[in-house]
Amino acid sequence: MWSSADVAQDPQEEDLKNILFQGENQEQLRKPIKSIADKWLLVPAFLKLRGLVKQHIESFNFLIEKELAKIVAANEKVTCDADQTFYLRYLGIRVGTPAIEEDLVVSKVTPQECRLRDLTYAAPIYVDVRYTRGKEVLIRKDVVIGRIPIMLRSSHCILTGKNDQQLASLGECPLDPGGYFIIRGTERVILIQEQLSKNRIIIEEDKKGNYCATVTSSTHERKSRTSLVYKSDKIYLRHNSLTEDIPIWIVFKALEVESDQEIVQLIGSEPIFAQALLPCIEDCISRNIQTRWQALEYIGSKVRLYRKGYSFLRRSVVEEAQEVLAGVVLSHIPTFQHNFRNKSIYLAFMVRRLLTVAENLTIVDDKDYYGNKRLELAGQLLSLLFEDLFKKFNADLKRHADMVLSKPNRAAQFDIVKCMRPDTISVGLENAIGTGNWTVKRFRMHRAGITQVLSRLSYIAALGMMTRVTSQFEKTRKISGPRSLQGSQWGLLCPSDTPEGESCGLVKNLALTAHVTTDAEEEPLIRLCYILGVEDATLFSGDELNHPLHYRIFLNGKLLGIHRSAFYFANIFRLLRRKGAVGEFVSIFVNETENVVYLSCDSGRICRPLIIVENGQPKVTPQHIEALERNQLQFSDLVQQGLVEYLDVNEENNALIALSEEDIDPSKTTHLEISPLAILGVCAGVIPYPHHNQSPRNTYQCAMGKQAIGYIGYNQHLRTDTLLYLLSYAQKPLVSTKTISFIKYDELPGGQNAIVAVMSYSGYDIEDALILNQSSLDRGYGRCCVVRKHAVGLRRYPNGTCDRVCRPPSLSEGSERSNHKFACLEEDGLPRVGARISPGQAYLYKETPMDTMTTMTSQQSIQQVGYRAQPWMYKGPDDAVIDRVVVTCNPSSHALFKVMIRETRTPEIGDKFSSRHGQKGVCGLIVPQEDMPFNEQGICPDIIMNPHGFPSRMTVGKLLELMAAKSGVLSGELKDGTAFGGDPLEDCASMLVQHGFSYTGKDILYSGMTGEPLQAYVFMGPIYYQKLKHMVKDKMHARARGPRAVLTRQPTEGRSRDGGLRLGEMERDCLIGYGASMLIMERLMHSSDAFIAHVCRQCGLIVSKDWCPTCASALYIRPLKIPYACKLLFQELQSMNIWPRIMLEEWNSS
Amino acid sequence: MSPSFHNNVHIGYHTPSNTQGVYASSAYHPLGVDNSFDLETFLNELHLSMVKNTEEEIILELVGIDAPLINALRRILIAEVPTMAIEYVLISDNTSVIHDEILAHRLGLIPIRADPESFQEYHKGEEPQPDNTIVLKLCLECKQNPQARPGAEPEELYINSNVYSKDLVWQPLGNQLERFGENGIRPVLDDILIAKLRPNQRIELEARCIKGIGKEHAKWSPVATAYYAMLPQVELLQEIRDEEARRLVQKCPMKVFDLEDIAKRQSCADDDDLSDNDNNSVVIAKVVEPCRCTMCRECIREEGWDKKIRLSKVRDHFFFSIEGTGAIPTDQLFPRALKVLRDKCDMLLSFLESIR
Repeated sequence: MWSSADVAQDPQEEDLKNILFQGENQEQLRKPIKSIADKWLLVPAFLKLRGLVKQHIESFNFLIEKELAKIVAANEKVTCDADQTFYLRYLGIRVGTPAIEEDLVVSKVTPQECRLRDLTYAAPIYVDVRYTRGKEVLIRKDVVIGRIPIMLRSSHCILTGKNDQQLASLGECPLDPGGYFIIRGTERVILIQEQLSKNRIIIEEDKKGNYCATVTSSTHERKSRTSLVYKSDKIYLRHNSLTEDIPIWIVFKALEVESDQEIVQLIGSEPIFAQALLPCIEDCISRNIQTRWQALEYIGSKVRLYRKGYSFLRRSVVEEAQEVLAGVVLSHIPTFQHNFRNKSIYLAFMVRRLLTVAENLTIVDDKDYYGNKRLELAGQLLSLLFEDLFKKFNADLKRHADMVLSKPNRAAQFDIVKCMRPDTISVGLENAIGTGNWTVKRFRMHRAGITQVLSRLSYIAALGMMTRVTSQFEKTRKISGPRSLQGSQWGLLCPSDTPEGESCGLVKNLALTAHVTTDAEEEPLIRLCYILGVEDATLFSGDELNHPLHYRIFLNGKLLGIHRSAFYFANIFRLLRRKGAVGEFVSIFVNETENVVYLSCDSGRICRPLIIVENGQPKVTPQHIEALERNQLQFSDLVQQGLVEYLDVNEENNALIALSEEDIDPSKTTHLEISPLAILGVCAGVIPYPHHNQSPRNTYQCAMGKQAIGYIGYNQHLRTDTLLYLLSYAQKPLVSTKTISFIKYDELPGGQNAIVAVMSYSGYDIEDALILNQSSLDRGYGRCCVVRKHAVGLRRYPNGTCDRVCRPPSLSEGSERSNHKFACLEEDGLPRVGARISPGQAYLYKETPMDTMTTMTSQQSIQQVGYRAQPWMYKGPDDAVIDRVVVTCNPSSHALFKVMIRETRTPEIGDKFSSRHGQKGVCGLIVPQEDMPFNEQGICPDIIMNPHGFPSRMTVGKLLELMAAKSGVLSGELKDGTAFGGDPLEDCASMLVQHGFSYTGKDILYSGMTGEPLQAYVFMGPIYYQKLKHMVKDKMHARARGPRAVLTRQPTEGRSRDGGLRLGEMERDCLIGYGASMLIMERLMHSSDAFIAHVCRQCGLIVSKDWCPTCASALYIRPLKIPYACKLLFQELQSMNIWPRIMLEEWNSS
Repeated sequence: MSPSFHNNVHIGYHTPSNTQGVYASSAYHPLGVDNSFDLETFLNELHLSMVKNTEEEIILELVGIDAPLINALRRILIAEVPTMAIEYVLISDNTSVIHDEILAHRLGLIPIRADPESFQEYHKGEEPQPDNTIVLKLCLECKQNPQARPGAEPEELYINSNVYSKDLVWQPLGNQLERFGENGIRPVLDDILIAKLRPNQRIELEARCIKGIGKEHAKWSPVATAYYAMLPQVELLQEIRDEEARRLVQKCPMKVFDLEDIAKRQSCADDDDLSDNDNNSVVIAKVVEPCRCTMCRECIREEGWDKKIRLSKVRDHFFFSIEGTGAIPTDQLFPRALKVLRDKCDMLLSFLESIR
């Protein structure tokens, strides 16, 4: 366990070794509890071990390394109906390294190449098969059955294990967390999905207010939902495959428990239960069902039949009932050879739990309790998809074999390996991840939006996306339960980071030290349990099962047996786990109200590391922390030595966790928090002093940090994203937090430290507007680059012709105007890198063939094809610069051009800025430096912020940030503003005093305009400000005249189409109310779609200018000015045989 | 001249008061006092002395001048004294990681030591002439250093890994060489980092400096900043003795106060001497260095202390600091500002003349 034995000569280390090996030194244990000053250092150690996106990567690795083999093993044989001797058996499965096949050449790919070339970063899946060909049995190895997209930084990604330099040479950012996929050039994340846990009994109230016990059973084959409903004093079994609710007594009888006494004993013979069960018994008797056979017949008649295809396999009613009870109802409880004992015991337990609630002994389960939730990660979701695709793949093979082998005489021997088409699996996986539509036929599951494009707006945005947890609840429903913060989410989900609006509380983010488990093997655990004294439940009678001292032992929702002293069992089990005999993520939870011990080793449980406390002493000592700091110890060593352990939500209920050393109660405390800062997530971790802010402000910052412009990665200049925002001079914040250093936000920051004066200035700072200093902008504050991708692909046409990029015609001759148009282009039709391009100039000159349909006969005629010019024009708001030109081809070997066009912007009026405290504002005025106020040191602010922003927002953290930053600047150090800690205000303030500044942080300022001191002291100092992506340049829009929609002749809509500004219904209502009828006429008709229609006065129909066909006359035609949309409506009505008539009267002027 | 209390800006703990001077000529008219500006008294009362004079900063002490006037000079220094700065950058090659625009922006902010008086204004679209443009060239390529030890710092591994302002080479136009002499025009500082290069990256450009003022862009500002502070005044309103006095001396971070033993009439320098004194001595606090006071209000933070100490600022007594960028020698900045001010006055006068 102690890994660095070779360096143990050092006497200090000998010491350490003694402690680590637990010299059972009682004296040492009896010492007073010392606080472990730097126990927060465990958090970076944890992150080093598991990384920020560990849950995604571990889950994917599990899929690749273990789950795929299991899936293949479960579906290992393909047979054929036509030829009984034919078979194909999978012997093994492997995933290779990411590669791409081009022109029959397989070559390795790097993620960066995939991004640039719009490829999918995927690796081939190899299988070994044994199959029959004619009479031979062959074994083939390394047959490719498809390609699986590979998660970046997972075990099969080429980036794992590379050092920073190697990563840089691959064009990769060393700080990039990985954990996402690259599908056709776009980075996509499979979001973590939150679900109610499977195979667990949950007691709830249904819509009618009846109590019911529900279990969602989930196995590889089937998902089903079984409920017991307690209505009108009787208990019924409700299941989808049954047409109506079945009285529970009948079910028990059908499950081979025929004696009423035995049933009652199984459930519990305590008088309160027996009493409650009486109506059930009576109900059963009244239906005259006594025997198992009768019960099965009753159930069989209620089975819902929707298997149409198997009509020839018609079974008897009894068989049907047996089948349903064995395989469908509570399908996660296995039945062997129609032995229903397990199931009846389980069902009895469900009844017992239902009755405890119905008789008010306990209350219903909380569905929002996080112990009842499971998180589905990329690995699980992909495994569902893969199994489905693999089944389809095998079904295709079988169908093919059936088809070929049923033919009487065949030309060649049938070789099934040659029919294996890898496309089924490749395309299926690629499309699912590429679109986010998850379709699993087995479970009839259709889910959209499982994946999202990884936001690369800022480093924080990308990280924040990797920790996002979405839930399956409908967003539109107004439910508060699942949205509100639950106590059990402590330390696992960030309390601040959730979006506002419809998905508030449904989309969550993982906390810093949260870990999501992957599946662990059940078999060894089961064996261990039996060794530790668990006895098989089927061997017990009902009374023994329900003995108050006997605890039922459940493993992943399945009843293992019972134990006579549960606490002893739990303690031994925990001890073994700390010694490493049991997996570190296996949880054990003793539920004393239910007399049950729940063991879990399933995937998707969310857990977190805690320091173990024994006899009031935390087992991690300052020496361990020192060793961690010196890199002599890893976090995993601490876990292995049983000093730190992972607890999941359920097991936390058996623990008493102290927040700090002072809170340790030697007789009760079992665990110690590593650090309170770990309850926050990545985005909230960036906020300094968040514990001083009003909580919604932290939530706002979590949303805004993702919109901040900054550095997005060390490879940002190599990336070809559709839109990149890059800040020119991003700075690390003066007031940092521990989380900032853990996640390396200080290396890829998203903002700048601005000197902020909190005062009013002019009138342009109302409603949160900011005043900016012109000179600061001149010197580079808030300067950013906007890089936009303009991709052009060349198409190939059916007749053999294709698009081409070539020298623009006018480069030598031609008019001056067209010379200007192509000024940025070079001889090859591509733009010159570094050239300045104005709107209306071409950035690429492409030609398309005139004729794409007629097939050309000879090579010569292809050259004779005429080409039509198709230059690609730059349509930006302003001049820009050609940043880069990428010339490549996609897998179908079509040429692909990516022209990156860059624009440099300085802040202007209307650009949005925000501090790290949810305080956003737009720039209201840019003031020259000489007009800005200045203090006695000559410092003048970069930003002036109106003090009205503070009282209602209550962002005290921002005030503290200013004080800390100001003192940090004066003393030349970075200050710490970590949540629930950070440098105290008093220290910062006295530091200010030491440097001759006011204790309050307020300075004397002189007006830049009058030159006299201002009439108040001004709170001034540095605050970290973020420039947000919303800039007026991208939004401002106005039009006088412009394009109109073809159908209605009304102005188009939207800025991108140069649309008009709509005078909507509400505005119209105002005008009506005001009585400005002529203005309405102008806005709604003259300025929009006025049209002279000709109406026949006699028939009232819209007709042509000079003839009314209905009246066969031209005499009564009059011009009429109406909106075109009105005329259109009339005509559309006419087409439906409704004839609107416009009745005109002669206008009499007198 | 002892400034009266009324003429001072009072520094309260929570808020300053009496911050605004009275300049209107008719302000005291009802009292029969003429408040109009009188050049003669102004000249008589004006005192100017230099407190500090270094390459970077000059501090002037001005007495008998009003805030508006000195502020006008400050504003002119920041915004209206012309200098030469790089405005046009013709980039022929830039393969560094720094974008062309950012590179040009960085170049623009480099202060260029050249006398703007010797140059005319450049108008957009004009041909660059020796009398309105300075041309600087920068041509650098980074190479692998064959002698470098492996794993060394980039500065050693590569040649020309850092591009500094000293790499900007002046290309004299026309008779500029005769007019300004060898090395007459150059960046003020040699070690301003412009860009970083890696092997095979190259920057080649021509930068053109023209004359401009800070109002247009901060790069033309001849000062990093110019500012002033009023003379601080610290008065003890009552005698502060013994423990309180010691506390006061300790409290003040700028060491404005000191102790005086009134029993022995002997001033003590610091606390160490104090402990030597016998306990019978009576010490009182005394203001020794009022000029050091930064008005941090620490001495009046505690309840009631503002009754004991009065902090104020003398309204017509300034310390005027000019932090030059070096584009113009710092000692010439103040005269040039005055000249700009005079020119503006002349212009106003001639305008008034013309409308009469």
